[in-house]
Amino acid sequence: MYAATALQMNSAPDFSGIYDEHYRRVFNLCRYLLRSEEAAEDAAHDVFVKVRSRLDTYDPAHPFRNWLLKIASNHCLDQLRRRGRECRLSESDSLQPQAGGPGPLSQLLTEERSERVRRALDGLPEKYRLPLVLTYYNDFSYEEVGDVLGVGRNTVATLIYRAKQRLRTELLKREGPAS
Amino acid sequence: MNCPQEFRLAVYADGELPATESGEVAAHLDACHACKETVRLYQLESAWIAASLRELDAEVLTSQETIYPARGRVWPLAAFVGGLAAVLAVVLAPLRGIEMPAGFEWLDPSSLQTQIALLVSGFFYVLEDGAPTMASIVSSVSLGILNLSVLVGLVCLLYRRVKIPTAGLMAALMLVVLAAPSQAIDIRSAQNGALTVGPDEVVDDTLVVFARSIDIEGTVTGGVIAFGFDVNVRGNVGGNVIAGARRVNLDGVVGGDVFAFAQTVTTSGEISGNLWAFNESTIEEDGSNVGGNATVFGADGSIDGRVGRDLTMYGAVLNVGGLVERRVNFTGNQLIIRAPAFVGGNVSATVTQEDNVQIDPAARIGGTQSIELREVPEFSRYSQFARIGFYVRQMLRIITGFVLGLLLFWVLPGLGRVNLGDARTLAVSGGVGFVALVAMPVAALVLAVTLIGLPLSIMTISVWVMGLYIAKIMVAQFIGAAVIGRKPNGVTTALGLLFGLVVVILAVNIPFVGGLINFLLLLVGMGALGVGLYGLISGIGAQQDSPQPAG
Repeated sequence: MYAATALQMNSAPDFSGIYDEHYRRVFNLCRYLLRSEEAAEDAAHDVFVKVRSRLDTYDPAHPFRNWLLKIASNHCLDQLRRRGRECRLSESDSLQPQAGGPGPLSQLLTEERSERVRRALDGLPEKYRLPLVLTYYNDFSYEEVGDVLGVGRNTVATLIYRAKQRLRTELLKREGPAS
Repeated sequence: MNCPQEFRLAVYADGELPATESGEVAAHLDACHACKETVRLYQLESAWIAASLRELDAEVLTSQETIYPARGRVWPLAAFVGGLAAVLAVVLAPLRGIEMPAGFEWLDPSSLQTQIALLVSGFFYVLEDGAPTMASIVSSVSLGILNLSVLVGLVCLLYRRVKIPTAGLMAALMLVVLAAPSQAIDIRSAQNGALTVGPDEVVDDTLVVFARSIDIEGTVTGGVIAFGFDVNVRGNVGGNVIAGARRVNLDGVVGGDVFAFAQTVTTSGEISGNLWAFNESTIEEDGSNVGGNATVFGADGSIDGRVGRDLTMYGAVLNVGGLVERRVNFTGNQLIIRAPAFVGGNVSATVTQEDNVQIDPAARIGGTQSIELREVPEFSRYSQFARIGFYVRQMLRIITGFVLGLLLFWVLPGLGRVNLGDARTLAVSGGVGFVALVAMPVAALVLAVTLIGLPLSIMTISVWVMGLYIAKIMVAQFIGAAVIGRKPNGVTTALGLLFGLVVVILAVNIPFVGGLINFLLLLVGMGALGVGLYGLISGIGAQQDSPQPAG
């Protein structure tokens, strides 16, 4: 945050500070969204190039990290769209959430299973993976997620609810019932 | 009691219900234990998902190293290469001392003579079929170059690093290059037969010939480019002669320079310009005359005629019995100057033992004689460190590697991502490198034997040679990225590459084990290159899965 404000006055030296501070976060986000380390590396690189050129548009009233992650999320979404695998997140998707399926994961999860969660997440279709990552990794509100994905808040809520159901099913499928 | 939908509870758990609804749910939870538990589980679940995702942030030190290797990670590479080199040096040391008995020297794979003879014989064995093959090679190679450039252009475009104007420029340049030599050329070929330019025939431009046996007895006013099994020039050639054949005989008069690539080249005529010979044997017979310099690369050279300027040879054995107007420079195994030789200038020889220079006292030498001892490579390199030329050469190596590396990683940034920071990748790279190093030449040879595959074979060999060169640049960039790091600016990348190159050049010059380190780095780098290219190609494949708008 400090680095960002300072940077507006004198961008060259501080940019490297921003990079150092946020690189991991941005890279991981890109990795989750794009599902490929190489693509994530390219994307993270491009994101920082974008950030550097757009620093003057940053509004210090908002948290810098959110601004940065939003740019990164949008960039990755552009990438995904360009790949032609556009996530069809139209409002028509906001069907009523289905009930049923296994209950919340909490009891399934033990520490060594986080890796499996990430793998299961990688296996989710884009329309479920993106809102989950944006919400829980970026710590975005449903509203912010909706902004990035270009859908309404309610759609986000539905998508997240369904995404979690899918995640549970995937996990159960992968490792059998919780022991 | 009317419990809220589970969906609402889940949204509530994320703190995302609108204030009014949220109040209602909160009131309900006070009364309903089951719903309260559901909310708690949802909260836990959200926390777990977040924790699972963020776990990598802590772990990212390793994950980031995979991408931008960090400081400590050069050690596996250093330990692998350094350790293995030291072990091999110790194991191989006793073998070094063994000297082959004189008669069996040709069996010694480390002898220069054997290597050159093997190379040349192998080449001509493959090309036994001579002329038609050569003709097809030349046409296929040019086609191959065109294809390759189109392919490279496509790859670049896909990578969107090189914009269309550059690619267009490249294509245009390519066309110019390919179109340039088509003027004033007489191209002839004879399938499996003999091609003769008769004694009375005059060819009034440059002659390009492909035939099994080529005899030029008449006059060619331009140059001659001849590929065949036997090339004999008995007539007059106004320009340069470029000849590739098993045997090249030059009995006539050549107005320009001669470039000969052959197993045996014999000159007994007149060459006004320079002689460049890349052969197993080069024989300049008594009575022949080279007006300019004679530069010979090959197993043995025998000079009994006249050389108007300097005679320079890099090879195994040089035997001088003729007239060299200026200097004789020799680097190799054995130099013999026998009477009635005359050397106008200095004689300098770089050999391994002083005994290997035999100068007949009856031979006349106008200048000084100097013998420089070339230490057996790899084991005692100390002497070279005292020479300025050594440092200049190493600087040049670094600079060329640097420029090529920058270009390479600019065009194919994916190559820069290969990580050599952990044992597994190192082992994989080493293995792939070994296979590439050994398998590619073998594959090329097999392809070459089938003749149809010859152009492909030549391409394989070119790629292989390029790989050999790029291998160490790959290692250098990894070391640089590991130590200096890589941020999204060109300066850090360039600095890293430069640093890495310096480290690599220093490492391969370490006494005793430098040669082995060189070899191991080659293996690892070659493997890294293979892995990187594979990643690149599969990456492009993935992008091609779906249509992608340009830009």
